[in-house]
Amino acid sequence: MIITVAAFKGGVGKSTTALHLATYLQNKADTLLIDGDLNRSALDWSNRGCLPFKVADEKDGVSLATLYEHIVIDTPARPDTNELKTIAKGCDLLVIPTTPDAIALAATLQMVNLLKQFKTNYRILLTLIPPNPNKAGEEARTSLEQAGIPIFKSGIRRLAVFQRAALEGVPVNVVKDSYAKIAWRCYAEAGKEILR
Amino acid sequence: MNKKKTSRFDDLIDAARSRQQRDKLQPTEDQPISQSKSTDPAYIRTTIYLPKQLHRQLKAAAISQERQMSDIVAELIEQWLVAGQQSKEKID
Repeated sequence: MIITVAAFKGGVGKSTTALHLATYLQNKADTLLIDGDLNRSALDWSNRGCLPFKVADEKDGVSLATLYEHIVIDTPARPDTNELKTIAKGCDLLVIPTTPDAIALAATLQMVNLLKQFKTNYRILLTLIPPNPNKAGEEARTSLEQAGIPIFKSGIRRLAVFQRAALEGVPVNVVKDSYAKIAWRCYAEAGKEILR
Repeated sequence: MNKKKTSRFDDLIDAARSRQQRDKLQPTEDQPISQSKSTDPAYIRTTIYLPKQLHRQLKAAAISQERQMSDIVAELIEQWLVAGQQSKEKID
């Protein structure tokens, strides 16, 4: 399965999402994460610590792609139209992470509009959802659902343990923290929805 | 480079797709020829109780003859039904 993670706005948890979906898929079959982000955040992450799956840039990925069952592609923030077109047409599922705030949601809607011409299988993933009693996550979900935009049932909570994972260079499920399990479950549920 | 290739992800997607195509060809090749009884609508699964020793003997005999226990039991029941029919006819 080829899964692409893309968003028009930076800082919405794109690399974190790509990395954790790859972690989930690796449990099922060999998975390759392509770090297509020119910041090379995922490659940095894997160089800092260790990740349970293979990470490569898009050039090395060409020869590696045939060896892996699942491929997760992390893309640059604000991909240009040609890149978006290649990716949107070429992947089995496009995951669009978005935070539940007005600016990110506007960028997401802009992307959704652009995707209409490509017949893409895409789904929105709400990320960095603030804890209760803040209702931003629920409100964003309701408005996206009302607009008829496909969205993951699972959402990713805003938890400090994700920062710790990035710092240690590991996926969140191996961080020793009482919130690690909760954080991991967010992505495991999203992964389940992908393979269903 | 190919003229059609417009983004740096083109080659990657092509490579990944070719892998998927290779995967898709396989299942058509080794489709089962014979349907198993468990999926054949002409058969029904039932439970019967046998003395342990008899079940063991049946199993051993079936393996040594390379036959299915289901087939042996079905054959015996058929014989029994036919025999029952014949003895009934004699009385009539």
